[in-house]
Amino acid sequence: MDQSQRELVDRACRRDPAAFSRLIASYERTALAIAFAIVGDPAAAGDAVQEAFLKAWRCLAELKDPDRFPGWLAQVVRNAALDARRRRPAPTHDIDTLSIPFTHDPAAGLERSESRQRIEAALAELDDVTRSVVVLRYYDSLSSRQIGQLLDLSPAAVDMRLSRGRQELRLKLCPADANE
Amino acid sequence: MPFERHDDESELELLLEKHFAGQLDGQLGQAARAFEEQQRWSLRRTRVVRFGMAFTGLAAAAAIALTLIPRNTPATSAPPVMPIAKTDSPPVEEPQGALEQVVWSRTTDLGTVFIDGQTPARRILRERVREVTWTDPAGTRHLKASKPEQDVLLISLDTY
Repeated sequence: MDQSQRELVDRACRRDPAAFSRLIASYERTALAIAFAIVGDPAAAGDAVQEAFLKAWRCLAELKDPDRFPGWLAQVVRNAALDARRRRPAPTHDIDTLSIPFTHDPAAGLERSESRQRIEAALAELDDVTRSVVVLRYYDSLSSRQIGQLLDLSPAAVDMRLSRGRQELRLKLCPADANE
Repeated sequence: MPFERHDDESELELLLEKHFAGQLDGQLGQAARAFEEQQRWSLRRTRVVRFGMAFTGLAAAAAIALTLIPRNTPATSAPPVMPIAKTDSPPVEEPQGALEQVVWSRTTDLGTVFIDGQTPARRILRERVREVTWTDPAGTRHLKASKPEQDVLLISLDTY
């Protein structure tokens, strides 16, 4: 965490709402990625993130070391998302019942709800940690070191999970190639 | 299939980036708006709490004044609670003897609470001890029964 971020955390700990608003802007993508990886639903992830930031504001006094803010916030978000998942289980899709028309254009494929559902179903089959690693990398563009700090993993472990996640996703999204 | 060549990492990465952006970008900004709204609401709540504290102070002063006013109350044994207010009812003459009922009551303001974490409300604790004493016609025998009661009232607060 750089000096400016540390100062923002210090000010937020002294109950400066403007500083905390800037922290929200800085960490909202990260928080959404973590929550989405757990609840699997964008709206539920948004709700969990709102709840997590409000709780973080209330509990900032518990944060002893400002440098640990990202990891601490990630834990608050994870807890809020797990609560949300317990309250409302994420919808599940049977990956084998979904069919996606062949397309050479990924953007066009994404526009199809079937394609979206297939990706969601493939992601849902990853374990929570691997899914979090994948979402943090491809939504928030975080480095392996940054992801590791958030998830309490070493950079090497992040890379391993990322590699495994990509491999599983390839197999799920393109089962014909997996049989070759 | 969502991407053409599964051995092309960049294509899978592009697919995932677009997928996550399409799913989650719409949620960006909501946490900041929720926080700002909570801050505005918190400011209003502070005003309500200050008003509530002033009201509680006045109520406490009134209760103390009431207890200091000398009252002609019948002697009783040590009450189970320290009363702030005591309501006497006149003895009821029964053919078989005299029946006297005394109600000891205490009301405590427990402060502001939030129902479902959102709706502000004043929490009031009401404690009562209803005491009935029967005295035989000769005035030599007494029978006393007491019944404690307690309930909590939640009174909604106007945040404006």
